[in-house]
Amino acid sequence: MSEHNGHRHKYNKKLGGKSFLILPIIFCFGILLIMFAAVSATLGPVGSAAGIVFSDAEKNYSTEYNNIFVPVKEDESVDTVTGKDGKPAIKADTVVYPGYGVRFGEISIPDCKVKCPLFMGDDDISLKNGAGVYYGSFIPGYGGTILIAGHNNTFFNGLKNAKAGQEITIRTSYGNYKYKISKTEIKDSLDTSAYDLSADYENLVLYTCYPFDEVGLTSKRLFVYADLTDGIQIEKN
Amino acid sequence: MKKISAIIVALLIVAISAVTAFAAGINDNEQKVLDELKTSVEMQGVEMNWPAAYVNQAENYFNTIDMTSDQAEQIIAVIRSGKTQLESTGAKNIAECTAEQKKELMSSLTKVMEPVNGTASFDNVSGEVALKSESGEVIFKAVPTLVAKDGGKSVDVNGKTTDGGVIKITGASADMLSFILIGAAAVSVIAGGVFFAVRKRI
Repeated sequence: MSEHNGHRHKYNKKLGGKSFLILPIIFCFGILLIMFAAVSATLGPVGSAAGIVFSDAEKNYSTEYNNIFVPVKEDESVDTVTGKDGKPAIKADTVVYPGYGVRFGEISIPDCKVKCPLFMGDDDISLKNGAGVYYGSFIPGYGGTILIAGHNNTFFNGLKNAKAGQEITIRTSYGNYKYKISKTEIKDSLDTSAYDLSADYENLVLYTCYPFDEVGLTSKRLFVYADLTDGIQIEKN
Repeated sequence: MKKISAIIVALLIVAISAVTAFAAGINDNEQKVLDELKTSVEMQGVEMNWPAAYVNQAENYFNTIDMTSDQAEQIIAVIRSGKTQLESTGAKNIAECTAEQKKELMSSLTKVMEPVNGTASFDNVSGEVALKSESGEVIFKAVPTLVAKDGGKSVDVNGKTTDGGVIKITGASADMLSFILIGAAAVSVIAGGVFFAVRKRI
């Protein structure tokens, strides 16, 4: 026993203060790595937003994607024709239709503190920089289903406060559209009854992963359904 | 399988040959192609269609181009020819195709894209086929599958239940790979530290 203690003492003596220095450094480094992985996704958009607020430089959206969004002012009029239903419609040839991965608008839900760029397509770059319209659905004003995805830890985190009656605004280069939330539902991600992509009427569906505090793969999604209340439809031939 | 290839090839022809116009609108030629894409094919006695999402993708793309009558006729002919071929295969859905047939599909897509420097790719993780123009613009992106006219679940090329790639991963787990790698690195470092401590009997 005493020999063992002597042996142990010998090792400590040999190491000196190194053991008290190396191990805490290794431990702290490991913890920092884990913390970085945990919070980087959340801090990224915050840093970007801070950069926009505090920077005097012109906004540059062209580094990762094309941007065709030029907001239409609330009091600005757009060229219209009479649509098939007798209502005014935006002239199709005045609408620059967005290609995949192009930013073409902005979506906001004031009651949920949601406000972010809107993209055509929902690939990684689009969802990293805002919300994305599924390419198999349509753009606002087209008269079909608009299926929009957003991350629950960044731009669509506010959807956890979504309630029926709240207003959603989508601004584009060809017009502004308002929708009223009709209901929210939690469904499986593979539940194809959660949306109807063959609908012949305009309806808005937003979704994000659920639950919000889940770290890891989750099969559930929070769907937010909304009906069009204001906005001019795009002319169809 | 050949019909699947034919329809995708048809979409490619549109993407390759049509002139980019950027103004919204579906002309008569484009509408004829969309109507053809919406028609069904009988697979083992069951009426099957492309999911609405696939046709919508074509419509969205057509809104950014201006197709001529000749182009539309060429495309419709390819689609009709493919339908006949597919019905004679006896397959129930794309998932039933053999590995060799799937390879043939990707090989055909790649060859079609080569002359225009476009690309066709298959993502093993998501199961999606992506067709891109020379400029890298996405023309079509989805998990290849057919759906029954009366709805129901579909399966992807690996036999897993799929919605065709409609709903994405939109949580923290979207960056799961980097999270796992960094986490594994952190655990390794800590484990190394523990090993060091034990070895030195600190």
